[in-house]
Amino acid sequence: MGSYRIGWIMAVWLLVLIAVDFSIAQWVDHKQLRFSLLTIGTFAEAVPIAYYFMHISRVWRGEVH
Amino acid sequence: MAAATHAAHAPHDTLRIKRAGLWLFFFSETILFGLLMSARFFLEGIEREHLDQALGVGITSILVTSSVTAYMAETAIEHDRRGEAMWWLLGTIALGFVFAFGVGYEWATAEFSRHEAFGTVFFTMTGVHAGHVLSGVGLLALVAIQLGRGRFSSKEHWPISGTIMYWHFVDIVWIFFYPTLYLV
Repeated sequence: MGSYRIGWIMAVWLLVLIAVDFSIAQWVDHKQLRFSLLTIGTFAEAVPIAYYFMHISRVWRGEVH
Repeated sequence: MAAATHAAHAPHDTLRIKRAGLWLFFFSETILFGLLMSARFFLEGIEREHLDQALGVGITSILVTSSVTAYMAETAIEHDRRGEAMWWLLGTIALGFVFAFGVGYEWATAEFSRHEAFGTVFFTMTGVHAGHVLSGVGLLALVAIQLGRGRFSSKEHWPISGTIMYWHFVDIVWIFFYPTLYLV
């Protein structure tokens, strides 16, 4: 059941970060700061997807059974 | 003895090769999408164009949610829950269609044309990505049909896993495209 829990935690994490990114875009007027914060937010979404959903570590660790 | 050992490990090794090959494909795709993003920033810098922000955040939430449903489908088949996996797959396909419809609506209502610099990169980026989404929907439909015919189990489900990895990749691409086009 651990895998299902990861799915729900990731759902909350990703949707919260989308809301944070959207808020940054609306409220931060300084262009460079906005760009930097959005870049951090983007990687904060992409890296967990690659790790937990795409199982990137299995490329070098092998399959987990 | 050595041959027997090799034979016992062969399917596992094959799976590792398939997985590595898929990641190499993702790498090559990353170059394509990265170049499209580079073109956008080269042409427009970090200036934001007028786009429907509500639609942008809506379709992004839908595509990210579809990644979660795809993961649930993979998890379900890993636990030999075929019926549950089928429902998660169908949900993922439905969300993919909704996302593609949203992109189409954005195209129809865009306040810029393809003759402008931003219009060129916008329609190219979203068009190439939407093409990947629709091909992903097609692949998901294929594995759903095979699942419905009784294929796949907790021990043999690489076609589902590979297709779902592709779906996650398409999702990650949009996670980069969304702020690049709508928010920066």
